Order: sequence, then C-alpha cells, then structure tokens
Amino acid sequence: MLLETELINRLQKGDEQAFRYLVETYQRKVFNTVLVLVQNVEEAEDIAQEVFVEVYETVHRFRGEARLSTWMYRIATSNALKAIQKRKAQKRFAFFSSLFGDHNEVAHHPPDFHHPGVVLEDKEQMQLLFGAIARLPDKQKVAFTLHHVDGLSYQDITEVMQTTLSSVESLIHRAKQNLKKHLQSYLIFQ
Amino acid sequence: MNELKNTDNWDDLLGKLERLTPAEPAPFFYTRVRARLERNQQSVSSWILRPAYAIAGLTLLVLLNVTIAFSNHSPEPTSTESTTYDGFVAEYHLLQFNWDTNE
Repeated sequence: MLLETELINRLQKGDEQAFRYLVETYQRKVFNTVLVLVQNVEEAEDIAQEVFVEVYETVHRFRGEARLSTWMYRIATSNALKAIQKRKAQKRFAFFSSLFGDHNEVAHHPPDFHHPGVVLEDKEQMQLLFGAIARLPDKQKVAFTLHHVDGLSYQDITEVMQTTLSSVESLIHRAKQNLKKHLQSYLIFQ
Repeated sequence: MNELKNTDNWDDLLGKLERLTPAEPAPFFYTRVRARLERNQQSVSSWILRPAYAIAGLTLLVLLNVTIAFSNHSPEPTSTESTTYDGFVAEYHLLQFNWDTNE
C-alpha cells in the first residue's frame, strides 16, 4: 500500500505503476458515484475512464490542498453533472427536432435505471428511489449521493463541493424532503 | 405500485440505498483508461499536422514577418536634406565663422 504523498509524488513523475495502483484502488468508488448520478452503466463507465485520464493529465498541478480522494470525487461529480446537462440539452434538441421531423415522437428517452447492486425483491422500490434522485437539483443530488451512497461525512462533502457545512446540511435536508415529496404517491412512509 | 404502500419506511429505504452492493466496472478498466490516454496523446500530436492547421499556421507566420518588415522600414532621406557642411549651415541659418577676419 502506498502512502498518499508518495503516490502523488510518483504520479507527478509519470510513474506507470503508481497510476495503475491509483486506477485499481479508486475505479470502483469513482464508477459507483458517477453511476448513481448519471444512471446509465455505459455512460458511467465512459465518465469514470475520463476522470482517470484527467487525473493523469493534471496531477502535476495538484498541490495537495485537498486529499487525493476528495480531488477525484470533485472531478467525478463535476464530469457527471456536465454529462447530465449535455444529455438534457440533447433531449431538448430532440424534442424540437421531433416537432419538425418525420416521426412524431421524442427521442433520447433514458430507460428506467436498474442499479446492478440492487437485490431482486427491492428492484421496484429502488427504481422509484433512483428515479426520484434523478429529478433532484444538481447540488442536492451530489450532496445526497456522496453521503448516502458513498458514505462520505458532511465534512468530506464540504471539501468535495467546496462549500460550507451548513450549506451541505441544508442541501441534504432539502434533498430528503424532495425525495419524500416525489415518492409519496407511490410509498407511504411511517 | 399499490403493493408498496404501507410496507415502506423512509429509513429502511435509505438503509437499502446505503447497503447497496457496489457495481463493478467492466473488466480491463485500466487497459481501457491507458488506451484512452494514448488516443488523447496521439490526437494532440496529429492535430498540429492537419493540412488546414499547418497552412493556417504558415500563413500567419508569413503575415507576421511581412508586418514586422514593413514596420521597421525607415524612409530614405529626401533630396532637400543637406549632406554637406555648407548645406547644413545654410539649412539651419547658422552664422559662418570667417577664419581670415576672425569674424
């Protein structure tokens, strides 16, 4: 196991083995964070690869103000949000082009997302929850996912999102309220 | 969806999310990251060799040279300007000193 400072040093020198170690250590974390945000396996895979490419190409600028994992979560969440924005723009374009196209239907409908880690008996329930997460505003979505899926503390999330503790608390509180509101027609909470 | 009603508790639902089995990226993830890195590096080096960019770069270089050459060009002295001592004195209306009379 490499110490973080040594790992960063070796990465900055272009050490191939260090980069392999970084990818193999963090690939699952990065992939899972992105997967919950974009809710598409192929897209998550693509973004996760791009995160490591970006880390490799910019690690010489990393000055150690944050932990390596914090920095990677920052890149991963920001790339995932960019992909979501791009998809929304494509969807809007598809809607308008469909108004003038031959086929009277809107393209680019994302299929319902089934997380590969969900057990069969929870499949329907979790599909509803993921659908509600997808409808959250970007910042709420990121804060909620980092806390409840990746298990990051509120303090860690402040560093990833570069915001204050009270702001993170508020984002997660509002995310839960919104999720309950979205889900109340399907689920009755005790 | 009705069968979900009355059976769910918010905390249970959150608990299920938190206990989710992490998904695995497809095998050979590292190999695919390396391949993407190499593709990126190749695309950067081949970018500059594309004819459109090469010609545009060359044209810009020529234009820059021409601009610099013209901006440094100083005009030749006109024929009215004096090139001799007498002409210089006459042009600036200077008094001529007569060495014979000391005047």
